[in-house]
Amino acid sequence: MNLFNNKNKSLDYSKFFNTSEPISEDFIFKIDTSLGNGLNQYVLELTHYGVINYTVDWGDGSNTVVNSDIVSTHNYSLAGIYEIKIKVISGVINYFLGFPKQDYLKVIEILNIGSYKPNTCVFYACGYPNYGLINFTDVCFIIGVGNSNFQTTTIININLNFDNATRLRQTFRHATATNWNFLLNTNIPNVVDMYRIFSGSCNLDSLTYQLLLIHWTGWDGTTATKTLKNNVPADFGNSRYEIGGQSEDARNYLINTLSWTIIDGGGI
Amino acid sequence: MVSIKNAQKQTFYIVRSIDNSIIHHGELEIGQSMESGQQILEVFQTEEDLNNKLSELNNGV
Repeated sequence: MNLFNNKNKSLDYSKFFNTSEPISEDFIFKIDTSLGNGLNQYVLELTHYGVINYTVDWGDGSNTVVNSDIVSTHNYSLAGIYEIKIKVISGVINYFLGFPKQDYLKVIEILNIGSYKPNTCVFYACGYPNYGLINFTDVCFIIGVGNSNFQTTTIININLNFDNATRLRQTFRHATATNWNFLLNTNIPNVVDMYRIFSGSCNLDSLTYQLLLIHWTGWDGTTATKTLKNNVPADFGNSRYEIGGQSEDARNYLINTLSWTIIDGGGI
Repeated sequence: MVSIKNAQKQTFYIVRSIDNSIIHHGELEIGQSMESGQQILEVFQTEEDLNNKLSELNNGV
């Protein structure tokens, strides 16, 4: 079985791991002002913990330094497509995009997640109600992944790196994807918590779940070949492992050897 | 190993190690299963009962 035969050939990982080309720390996304309410403006509403300092490059030559305000409104002289860059100087932002109060319907592309801090929830509810417009192709997590990043999000095509992630709590809760194969490009060597990761109305399918058990453990038919953390709680929703198959062996290894706690739909 | 197979109703649980150094908790919807390599399983009828127990455990009671 070739776990990677569905790998999207358009994904170019080299850009994310080329150390000679520093990865931007900015959160960068594109907007189209003609969408949503159609006004020549973008209302940026970030939710954050405590004191926050960040800068916004609005993509038209204007920059704003924000010290504590939650809402920043920028008026453009012309309608069009603009690339907005947010640089967090200090503090923690827990929602970048997705709350109904902001102009999230104008977002057409996420270009870079940046090195936002854990506990952020970048895309909370972004997939609802209108997310066919978003292109997730170049989204990549390098530093770490916090809670609920894709909760209630419709995932079309995405490139994730969980290598440094420690917590994936509720990351895909209520999320839907047309194809979950992108998970088979990930590894989770440092993850200690996957509480509710695929819970709620998440549509993770049983085949991907089975392949994921094999891939994440590096199950070679007899033993695990990859290092994982002990005592991890993980919730795979209603997905089902294959009774008598390698996915059951890998699952048993996680439970019996690594003392994981696994929720799923049982065996099939 | 402890487990709840094919829950017939919404079920709240705590699984933990004997010394309480590891505590996992959660809820199962109908038809879901939970298996854990931890040693102790406690089942609760309501989320409130679950939270009360978690508070006890966190306070070292």
